[in-house]
Amino acid sequence: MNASPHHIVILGGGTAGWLVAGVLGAEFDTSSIKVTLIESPTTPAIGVGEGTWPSMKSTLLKIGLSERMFLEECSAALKQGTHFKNWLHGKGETYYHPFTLPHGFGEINLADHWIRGHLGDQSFASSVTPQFAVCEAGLAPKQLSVPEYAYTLNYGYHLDAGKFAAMLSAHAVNNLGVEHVLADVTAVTSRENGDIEALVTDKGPIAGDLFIDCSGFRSVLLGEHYNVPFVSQRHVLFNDSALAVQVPYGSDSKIATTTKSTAHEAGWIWDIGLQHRRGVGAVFSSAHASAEAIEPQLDTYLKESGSASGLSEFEPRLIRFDPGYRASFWHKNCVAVGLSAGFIEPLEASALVLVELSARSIAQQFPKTRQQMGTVAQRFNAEFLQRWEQIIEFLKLHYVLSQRDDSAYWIEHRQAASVPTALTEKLADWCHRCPWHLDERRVDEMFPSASYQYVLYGMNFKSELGKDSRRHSEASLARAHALKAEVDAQSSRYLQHLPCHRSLLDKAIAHGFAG
Amino acid sequence: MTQEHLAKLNSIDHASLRIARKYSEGLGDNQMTCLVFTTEMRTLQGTYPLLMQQIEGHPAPLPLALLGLEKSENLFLDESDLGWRTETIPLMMQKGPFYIAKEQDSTGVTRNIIALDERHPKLGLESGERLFSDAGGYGDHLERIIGLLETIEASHPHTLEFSTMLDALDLITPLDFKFTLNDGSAHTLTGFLGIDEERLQRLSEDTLSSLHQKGFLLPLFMMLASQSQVSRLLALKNDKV
Ligand SMILES: Cc1cc2nc3c(=O)[nH]c(=O)nc-3n(C[C@H](O)[C@H](O)[C@H](O)COP(=O)(O)OP(=O)(O)OC[C@H]3O[C@@H](n4cnc5c(N)ncnc54)[C@H](O)[C@@H]3O)c2cc1C
Repeated sequence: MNASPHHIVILGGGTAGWLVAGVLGAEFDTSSIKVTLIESPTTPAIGVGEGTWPSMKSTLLKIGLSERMFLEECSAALKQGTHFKNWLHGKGETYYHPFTLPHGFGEINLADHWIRGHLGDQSFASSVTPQFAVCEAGLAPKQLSVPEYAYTLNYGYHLDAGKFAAMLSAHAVNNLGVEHVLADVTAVTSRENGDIEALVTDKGPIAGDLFIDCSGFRSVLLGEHYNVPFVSQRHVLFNDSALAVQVPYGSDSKIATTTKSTAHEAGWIWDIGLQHRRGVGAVFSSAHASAEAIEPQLDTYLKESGSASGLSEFEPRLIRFDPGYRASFWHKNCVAVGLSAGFIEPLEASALVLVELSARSIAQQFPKTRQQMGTVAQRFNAEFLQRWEQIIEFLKLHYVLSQRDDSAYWIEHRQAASVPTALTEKLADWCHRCPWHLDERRVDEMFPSASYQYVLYGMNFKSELGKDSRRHSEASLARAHALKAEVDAQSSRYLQHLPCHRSLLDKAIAHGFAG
Repeated sequence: MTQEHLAKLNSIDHASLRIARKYSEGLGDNQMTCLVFTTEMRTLQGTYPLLMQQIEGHPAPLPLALLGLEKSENLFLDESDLGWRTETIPLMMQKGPFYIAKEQDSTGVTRNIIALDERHPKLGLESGERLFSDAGGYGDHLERIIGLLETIEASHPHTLEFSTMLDALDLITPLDFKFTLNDGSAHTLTGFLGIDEERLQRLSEDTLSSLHQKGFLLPLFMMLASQSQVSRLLALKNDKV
């Protein structure tokens, strides 16, 4: 069995399945590699997952979609980062984790100077990037005259998950030659070597060379068929439930340009603004609170955030998940992408970016022979295990830094036994040193050290740097002052010239960018 | 361009001088930008992004055509006979090494003369088109260039007034952005200015009508319309990588 793999079969038509189909369809010529996607006509996709990273810009570009069309068809908005509230004390305090790196990040570590008080007494984010001021003012991260996918300040998206999958599907089928089969997979037939030979469906068997399991939480191939063990992370990140609602805009129809993440005593609430509605959901731990106990939290949030009606007017959807991931993702001739590979609470919207990275990795390393597939699988597994660990450490950081003590939920989150060793070590190190490029030991670090800075210093982490004994410290100080002055100048320039978020979206949809 | 290299054009010193009509990097056309004039904006807007830039020594930013996305890059140069991929070419690029200079005659009166940069790579004795005919008259090409110089000379003051007015009305907005090419490389374009559409829309009727009377409204809208050409530059650059 050494013919070159030429038929890729994707199981699942949620966001993961269609993103993978789009990336592979754009990468390969249909005459050499054929892509088929099987989707159950009866099992719906999960329908949540509406915040992305900036990486989605390049993914859409690669798939060959115009940004104007994407914004229109997915009712999408531009996301410049996350705005955290009540995470530190629960007393109304806020901070930003913006997508733009601190000014001059490649050259100098402004955090060093901010900690020493050299940049004044404003918050970390507002001292190092104009994106702070722009987010506060609710302005767009670019002007209409900036071309598609290019940006003045970096951004990702807020999108309607259902519309997104539909748009990707139409494009993949109509323009990229992806075959779409609506059928339920009921069984799997195997080859002697344990490879999957075909997926048996109510429309007949579908054979293939590589099977991509995008079947959602059920994990039909990797989980149910291969029984690849599940590595639970419940002891680190307790959240396993979400109560989600879709909220129409009230009288104030301003579209936020960040994901709002508001903590309460038993978890936190996401708030994602699209063009036509908001997506709001409470994430919590069933071990600490019941859905009934969470409802009042969500109700209060809705009322306080401008919704015309409270929770009773909506039909909240309760979603349960098991926090964790599979021990390996690529097994035999099957690789899982999306929820079938694992899921951790959506605190930093890291699920879709993992899908994008997986799709890219599969496209780039696509094995030429079955034999080579083993090597590719090993590399893929090593890479993505590392990514899952990085995500878990970074998410846990938000809880470890919290000083909330209003419930067992928050206190238990800080118990040493629940904190990954690697994170404990990093925190000990950062007591004396601000994270910077040195911390990106691996080229493929999921979260740049800048992200760590924004969260650490947004949450009052104290790095005790001591006296700066370096010889160049004076030059460095002068440079830091100059950069800070540039941040201030940029902030006022952008405040003056960047359009309001909704007006940019309306115009971009009507006329296109750079028009 | 320093004045020292400029010589007054005349049929004796320059009798056998020839000019290359092609455009190429070797001939000095690898410019990222070139200044443009209000009179030509209408023809240029369908091809080039017409932006503005603060140039030292000028009180208001000046309008220019963006030809490339980094220093010394002109994405409009190609391998064709002419060496330029589009039909419309900005006046400043067409005029080549020629200038209008001022000269005082013996009676103290200042008049315009044609000067040229003798060291310019487009000028030489071997190849290209002769500037002067055997009889000492202007050759066809030179004749055309002189026409261009006159147009430039005539539109220069209008263009300066135009940019001063835009600046005064605060219609100019910084256009800084980052973009990623198909090969994954990230680039930044910074230091350029564009027309602020929102502010333009908020102008009062009186202001609009005075802009119109001064002949500024058309070039203003041409500049605005031209901004979509930034995408063309991105596409051209992507074709190169
Ligand atoms: C509460 C919550 C909030 C989230 N927020 C974010 C966020 O902000 N940002 C982010 O990046 N991600 C977020 N996510 C994750 C994101 O929703 C998912 O990563 C994304 O939607 C991909 O899901 P999927 O395609 O893997 O699975 P699904 O959407 O569940 O799709 C599974 C597909 O498989 C098909 N299928 C299943 N079984 C069979 C069968 N036997 N035969 C045929 N077809 C079958 C189904 O029909 C369906 O099409 C969130 C997730 C949750 C739960």
